[in-house]
Amino acid sequence: MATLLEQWWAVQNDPDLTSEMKDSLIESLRVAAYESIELPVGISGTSVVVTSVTVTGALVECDGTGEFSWPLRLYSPPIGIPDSEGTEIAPDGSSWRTDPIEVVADAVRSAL
Amino acid sequence: MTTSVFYDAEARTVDLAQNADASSGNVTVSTIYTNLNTMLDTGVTLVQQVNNSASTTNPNATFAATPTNGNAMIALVVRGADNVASTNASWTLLTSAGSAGARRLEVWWRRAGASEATLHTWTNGTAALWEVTLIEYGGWAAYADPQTIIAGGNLTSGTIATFTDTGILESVCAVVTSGGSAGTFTNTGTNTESVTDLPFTTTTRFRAMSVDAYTNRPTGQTNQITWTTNRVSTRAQVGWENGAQSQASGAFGRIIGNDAQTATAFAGQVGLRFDTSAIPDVDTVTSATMTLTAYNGTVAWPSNTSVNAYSLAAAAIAADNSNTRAVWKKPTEIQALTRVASRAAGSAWVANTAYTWTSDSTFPAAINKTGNTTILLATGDQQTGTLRSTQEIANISTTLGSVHYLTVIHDLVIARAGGLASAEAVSGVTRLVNVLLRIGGKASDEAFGGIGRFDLTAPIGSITTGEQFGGAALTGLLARVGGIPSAELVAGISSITTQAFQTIDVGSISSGETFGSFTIYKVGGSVVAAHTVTGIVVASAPTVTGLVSAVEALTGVTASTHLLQP
Repeated sequence: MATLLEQWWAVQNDPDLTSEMKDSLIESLRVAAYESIELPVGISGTSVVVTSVTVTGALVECDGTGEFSWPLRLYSPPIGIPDSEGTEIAPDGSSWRTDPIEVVADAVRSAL
Repeated sequence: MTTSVFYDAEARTVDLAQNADASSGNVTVSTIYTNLNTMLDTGVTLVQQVNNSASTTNPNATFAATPTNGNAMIALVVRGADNVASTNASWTLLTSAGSAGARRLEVWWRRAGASEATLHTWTNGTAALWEVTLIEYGGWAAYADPQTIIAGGNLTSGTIATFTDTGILESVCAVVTSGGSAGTFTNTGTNTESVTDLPFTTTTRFRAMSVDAYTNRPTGQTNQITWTTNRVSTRAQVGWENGAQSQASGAFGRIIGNDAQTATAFAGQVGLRFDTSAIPDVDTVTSATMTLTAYNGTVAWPSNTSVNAYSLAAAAIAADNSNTRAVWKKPTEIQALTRVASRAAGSAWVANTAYTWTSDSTFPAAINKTGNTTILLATGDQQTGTLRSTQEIANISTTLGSVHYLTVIHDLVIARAGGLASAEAVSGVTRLVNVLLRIGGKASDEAFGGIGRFDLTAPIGSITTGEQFGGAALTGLLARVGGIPSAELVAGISSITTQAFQTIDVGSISSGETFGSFTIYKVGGSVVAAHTVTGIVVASAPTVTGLVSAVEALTGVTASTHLLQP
């Protein structure tokens, strides 16, 4: 069973899909990934706690508590992050893991 | 406040080093920087070309003019009836191919010396049909050696000969066919600035052309020239490249920075585009940071120079058919840009790891709220034109749309007007989106001059003193003006719509009030019945307390319509 990231890459690299079809499938995968986050979730190393995640099209909007300029809006975010120990191998050979909350966490940390 | 994160929508790497893809170029970083104007602006120039053909031994041709010292010469030595190799110790063979008993294509090059000969002869002991074309190239060709772009090879089907590659400054494409009529050669080339047919006038078996590519094509776009013939053929392409596509997807990531000045691999810069149009136009950007991820293989970070981000405003970074360079900038051009972020020399740089650049105070203003924010990544050395004996490069991930991002914190200019301590001028605002404006607690007169429209629901419950909403056309306004304790001036309101009932509770008349042209004086006793003052409908019987203490004049009032009891 392919992971969400592997499905993501498969869609991106499928020459038979139109860009509209790719966008639609990617958005479905994004919804599946971000709606799987168990809330609330704290961001380690910060006072931030994410209490809600809403996916609308390519936009992922988070709200929460803690010292942060809410809301947090991610435009066309990925659903995973590079990880040298990850088991999901991108088409370019790099290692990843499906981890949408870590995508959110990286975004939070970049703003602090 | 809102935090928005934008992932890179487009990235482009341009590496001026001619052998960035590990081909056999000879251009050092020092040569590039010493001749930047020639490389980037002049390019490779076609100086002269000549051809000769016969069926004798020793193919040869003669330039019409003496080639300029230092220029590069290309020779196409082709045979139309056999595959017998020619030799010339003064020239270097770039590539060759052929088919026994049928044809042969050889491409040679030589750098012209002082008092260069015009006649050049190849040795071949077989007398058979041959043709030689000599071409002299100047400009950047005087500094860089030509390379083989497509090695000589036989095309077994007589249909199409396609020449395709990226990053070509100038190239020579050549085709030779077998036997008889060569058929029709049709140049259907696209994406090139100009194509010069090279002279093969004595036989239809040979064709060649010089292709001048657009300057803004170093990477990311395929240069394609197609010739169509109905015969089997042999083809080759040589020329000068201008940055290699392989750097964008190859084994070293996207390169920023220069190789050692005597080395030949890297002189790269990177353009990144972020679509930041989702930021509301009326918002103010208060913070911007850029996070980039290191390449996932072998990584490098400069020891002696910073890696900087410069604002390209909203400039396009894509390769296109133009001579406008979008990404690679000369030192003087970088100096004219605004630096928005940097990361110091010697910083940590671990594969597959994200790092946030240190933002300059200029970064927020460089965020484009109406479209793309494009960034040029270059080193401090590239900004100053400094060359070093050490390699000073960084390499970032080639992954698009996931690991490089901008984090922007922004806020609405007028988020809450309720607590304004004194009169505030909000001028020049053309559009307010999703504004919930509470006016209830204004302490004094406020002017909102020039605002054309409020989509506003505002309680104005406690107006304590005269408030002026001059000039505003109020639509959709639900306003309670219940407790006006004294005369209030609401001037200049052009229309109040959607208000079915307007109730103004005037309460107790404590002093003289003006109702149109009439004046009512307080009298002693009470009014015993409803009365009507012409032109004004009084909803209920008012109570006039006290006694009439003086003569009362009700000028213009019809006596029969009211009854006063003394």
